[in-house]
Amino acid sequence: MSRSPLAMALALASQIGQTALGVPAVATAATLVAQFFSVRAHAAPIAAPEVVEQWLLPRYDALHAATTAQKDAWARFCAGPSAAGLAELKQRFAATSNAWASVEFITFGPVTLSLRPDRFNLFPERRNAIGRSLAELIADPTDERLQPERFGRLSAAAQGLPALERLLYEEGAADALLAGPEATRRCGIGLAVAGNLDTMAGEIRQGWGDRTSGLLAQLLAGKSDPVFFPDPSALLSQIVTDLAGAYQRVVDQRLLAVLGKSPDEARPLIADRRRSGLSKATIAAMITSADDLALLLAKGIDAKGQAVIAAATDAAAKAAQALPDDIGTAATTPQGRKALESAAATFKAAQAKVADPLASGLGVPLGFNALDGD
Amino acid sequence: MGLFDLSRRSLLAAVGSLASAPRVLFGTAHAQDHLLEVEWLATAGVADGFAPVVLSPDYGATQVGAGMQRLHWVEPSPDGATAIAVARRPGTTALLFDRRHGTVLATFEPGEGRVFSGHGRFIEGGQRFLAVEIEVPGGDGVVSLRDVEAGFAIVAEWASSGIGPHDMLPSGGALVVANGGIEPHTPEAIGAEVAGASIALLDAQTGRLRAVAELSDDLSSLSLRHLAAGPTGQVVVAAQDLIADEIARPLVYAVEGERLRAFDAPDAEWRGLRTYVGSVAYDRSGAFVAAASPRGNRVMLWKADGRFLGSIPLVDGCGLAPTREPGQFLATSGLGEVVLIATDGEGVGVVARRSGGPRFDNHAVLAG
Repeated sequence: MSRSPLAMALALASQIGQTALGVPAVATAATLVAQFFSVRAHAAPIAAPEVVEQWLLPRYDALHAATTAQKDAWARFCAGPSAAGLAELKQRFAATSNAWASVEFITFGPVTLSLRPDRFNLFPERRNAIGRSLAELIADPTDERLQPERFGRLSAAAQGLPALERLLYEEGAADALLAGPEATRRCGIGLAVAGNLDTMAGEIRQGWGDRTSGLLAQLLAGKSDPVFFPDPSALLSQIVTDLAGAYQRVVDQRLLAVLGKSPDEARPLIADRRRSGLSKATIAAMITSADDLALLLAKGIDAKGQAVIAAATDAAAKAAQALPDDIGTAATTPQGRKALESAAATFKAAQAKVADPLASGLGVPLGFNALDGD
Repeated sequence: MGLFDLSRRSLLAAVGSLASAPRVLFGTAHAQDHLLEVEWLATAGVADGFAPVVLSPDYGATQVGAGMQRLHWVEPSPDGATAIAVARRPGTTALLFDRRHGTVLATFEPGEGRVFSGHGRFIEGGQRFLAVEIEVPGGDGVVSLRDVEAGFAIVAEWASSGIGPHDMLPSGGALVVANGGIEPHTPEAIGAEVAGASIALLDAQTGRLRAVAELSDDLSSLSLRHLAAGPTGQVVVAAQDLIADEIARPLVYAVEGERLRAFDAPDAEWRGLRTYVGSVAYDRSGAFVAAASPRGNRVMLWKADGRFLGSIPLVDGCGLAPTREPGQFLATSGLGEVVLIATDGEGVGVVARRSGGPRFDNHAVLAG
């Protein structure tokens, strides 16, 4: 973020309600706090800080624990490569990948800075960006770019989970990690990616803080933040919007993109996590996490709305479990396509059945989301 | 008699025939009990659908009617009385509203077999309205010339000379059309890597194609979508990228005849837009340009010559308009925020902020 001293001063002026450049600042912190509590008072017994504390932060904790375990596993493996070590790396990768899928659709808070979503998991990948970045990095004889301070500034394509997936699952990759001329280099890259993921997960979690410090404490106190929560009262709206976006991500990016308009246009090679065989698990993790969020938010609305959401999340969960294991291959067969199309329809219905009662019941506007075009 | 000196009464008579149009989606709106103070216009998502909104000088928002089609751009009439909000693809409604009384006056539709792209402009002092329309299926672009006094009847149709036109504006005797090609974030864009976008310069009188500007092959994944014109006729276009391959392609260009000149910014800033610019605007002086990315949660500013000044974060921010002061922009967000951004040519900052508005859609405009 490029901000000159003047810019910082201007931003500060606006936050404390002073006048800058002859323009009156219209929203004081007091106003923001009043709006925040008014939402709490008459909209619902559920509020954004509770959702952050009860739903989001445990998932960020799990993500950080997974990335740390993964980093440690890579360190052990690189010190003494073995088949057992490789199996553990794959297990750690799956845990981290699923933990990320459960929060991927969140577009507020510290995750939004420093291109973290793209650096953590560049998706959907195009033009073999990840393969090209990785090949170029493998061919580099020096370790300079693998140092943590440099690695985080490389192309996002080389920094995240998709690069790690290729190191572990690409054809011949496992053997190349265990032995051969590239083994040390590939291990070094894997360790750098794993360390980078752990750093990002730690930064995201640390930014949120706890009840006494960081963004959570700020939210609980109803204080705005110029970057993350200019208006704390809008956060619940953003949570509901992101929740709707979770189902949409699954439908648009994980299913329809692979299905194409016809069997001839199916694109099995762009199925998410096809190399690791985690296509279905990724969708299931996202749907499960979204369903949990929906059910938590539903506590703030009436029984009728709760029933609609319970039925929609139940249907979505069953549809996720019934998905074929290999999404890409399924897209190429009539029976598989039918299964994927049916699941997509269920998730699409869940999006509306979850978002609409929450938006009206919680009294929050359903915002536009990052998947919108135009 | 042009619209410029047309009385509200005669305008109402002129468009009265549209009140019974087959698809009147915007119910009868109640007039405000006082005249609205109109500083900016925008479109938004509201409790009962989508609506144009009128923004007062202190950033308060008043909705005008409501309908089920998502609206996009609002074009103020030159006489200060009305404005037209246009539905975005695949919408088929444009609505004329009284911006001071807050009432919908009429609606009109695209030509047969077409949808609106979301943009349109008044020309000839408000006597004519140009709408950007897209044929379905196929995506061929049409600019329809409409007679305002004749109930927005189409009097001419011109090919936009491209696929998927999105925005269009008059500049220096020409109509500048941004033919977006394949629209990112749509089913058609799945798997596509070449947008097929272009800038077409049409003769403003005849619609004849004068020139086409295209990006080089290495930028062929860009969909050219939004235009803005400065006070002396300079034009910029903002793009969206079909692909995320980590190459930091510039997303804002100056339109210089048949040449598109990239604005400057550090690679990290371009990447920070996350492949998407939703709107672009000049400030009142024409010395500065701003572009907003709701995906990247930021607004970037440049000098008009393309030199990068800085960026500010704005979650889900997209609407951008000048204010009456040089060096200032109004920005709106999908979370109901309005912020005032200022630059002195060195730094960039937020100088005012108001929350609690409706979920603002892509565009805002100074009422003029």
